[in-house]
This record gives sequence, C-alpha cells and structure tokens, in this order.
Amino acid sequence: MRFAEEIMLLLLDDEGGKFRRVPEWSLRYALGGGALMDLALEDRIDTDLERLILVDATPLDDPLLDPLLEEIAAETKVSDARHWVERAAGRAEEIREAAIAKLVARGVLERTEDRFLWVFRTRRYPLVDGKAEREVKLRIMEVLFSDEVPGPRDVVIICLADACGILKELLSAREIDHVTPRVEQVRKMDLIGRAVSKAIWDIETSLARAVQPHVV
Amino acid sequence: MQSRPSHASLAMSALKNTEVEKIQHGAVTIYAVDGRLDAPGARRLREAVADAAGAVLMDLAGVDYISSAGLRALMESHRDLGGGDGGLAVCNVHPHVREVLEVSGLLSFLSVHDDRKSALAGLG
Repeated sequence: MRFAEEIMLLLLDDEGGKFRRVPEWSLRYALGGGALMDLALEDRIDTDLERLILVDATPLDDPLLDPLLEEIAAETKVSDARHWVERAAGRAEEIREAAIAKLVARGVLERTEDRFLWVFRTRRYPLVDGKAEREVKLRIMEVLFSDEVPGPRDVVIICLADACGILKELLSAREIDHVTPRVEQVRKMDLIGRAVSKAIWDIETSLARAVQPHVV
Repeated sequence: MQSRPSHASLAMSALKNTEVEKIQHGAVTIYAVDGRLDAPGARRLREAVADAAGAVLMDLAGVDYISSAGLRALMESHRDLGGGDGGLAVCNVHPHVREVLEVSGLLSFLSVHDDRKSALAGLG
C-alpha cells in the first residue's frame, strides 16, 4: 500500500465515511512528500542534504507515482528535497484521487454518493475492510511507544501523520505530550520527511506572523 | 563548519563500485566499506550484511558520502542486529557522513568509535 493510501485511511472518519478536515497545505505536503518517499523506497530516487537524485526512471506502472517520477526524470536542473516536496505538493489533488481509487479497487473503501437537500451531491467512502486501517494505526502506536530504531516505512508514516495533524486524532492530549519527543526523534530520520515538516512549519510560522506580527 | 567532499571527489568516488570486505576478528565481524553509501552502495551493503549476527563493526573509513538510501541501510542493519546494545557499531566515520548521521538522529542509536582498535576494545 502506498503512503498516500495510508494517509487517506488515517483521515477517514469510520462512522460517516468522510475524510477528517485538516489544514489544506499540510495535507498537500503530506501527500506530495508521501509520493516522494514511496519513490525513494522503490529505489527510483535518492536524497542527501543538498540534492534529490534520480536513480532509475523506469515507471512503476502506478498512476499514483509515475506522473511525479516522469516529472523528476524530465527535470535537468538539480534541486534539493525541499524543492521537490513543493513540486510534488502541486500534484496533491491527483495523488489523493489516485490513492482513493486504489483503496476502492482493493476493496478497502467503497464510493457512495448522497444527495443533500435533494440537490447537492456529497461523496462518502464507507470503510468496507478495516484491516489495513487497523494495521497502519497499530504500526504508528508501536513505533511511538517504543525507543528502538523504527523501520523505514514506519519512519515515513510517522512523519506524514505528524505533518498533517492526524496524531492528534489518534491519541489523547496526555499521550501526545508523552510521545512528542519520540515524534521529533523519528521525523528527523528521513531526509524527505524533514523537508515536509520544514515546509509545513514555514507556512504555519508565516501564518502566525500574519495574525500576530510579534511572533518570531 | 564540517568539511564536505568536493563535487570532484564525489564524482570520482561515484565512478567506483562500493565494496564491502568481511573480516572475522575473534567474536567480532568487521565489514570494511569502501565507496559511496548511495542507492547502489546501500544495496551492496545490505546484501553483504544479510547474514550478520553477533557483534558487528562497520568500518566506514572508505565512505565519504551517504544518502538517504545509505541511512536506511544502516538503520535496517542496526534493527536486524537486534538494536540497542546488540546493534551496530561503526568506526572511522568521515565528517560528512557523521554530519548526515547527526542530522538524522541515527548517530545517537549507533555505537560510534574513532577507529577500529578502540571499537574492537569496546566490543571485546
């Protein structure tokens, strides 16, 4: 399962079949960053502190990742992970739609349409098979309440869940306080994850400055 | 400011394949890595240490570059070896590699030694 699919599952409100609302910019960066991280774990790209490097341009036959891989392969200028997180975030809508389509095709979600006031159409995605969602949540809990070095996929999902504020939905306020140092430790472990967190932090800081100019 | 390898030296080291030599020193298995720990280098390292067990020391004297893929390879090796005290020991870490390990926080999980001699003394 791709990270974008896991994020959408984590965002799903099981009762209503709707996705929880999180800040739009953070979801865009999380979906874009997740696609980059999938490409890294598929050995298509690699990163260091200064650059994102194309390793292998061979398509994965995956509509969720191939358009972004093609864009990276076509770029002649070398840029860092942050630059590519911004570029990938620009594809968030198509990544989201591809992720939902894959979840529906896998039989994890189903797509239903309701009418509101007989006129407005609303779309819901009731959960058909909750196993994948439970497994993602379990993985997150296991990493957060342990002090071992996590696996690469676990590092990524913690980065992304933290980036779009999902952890607050999964844990109580007291648990959040308890795991915050661990989250900070884990999200540093992936260089793309760091770039995603930094991008979101920069936006939140500039918003805070706009509202309260004295905030540094 | 720590020194970074120049683009020229990175380009030169990129031309050669990463090699991993396995050396048995008593109860300690040493893996001497020579070359870049980028995506292909990381793959070679993972293959080389796939059957590693017990006390393992990775001598990184020949490594002046590490990417995300290399970081993941070290992380997975450390996990495979049981993590914690039974995890991975490294020595002769190049300043640029150390910087990446520090930034990622991985340095705090590994047992880091200045050279092979002090590492072997620590593991013995």
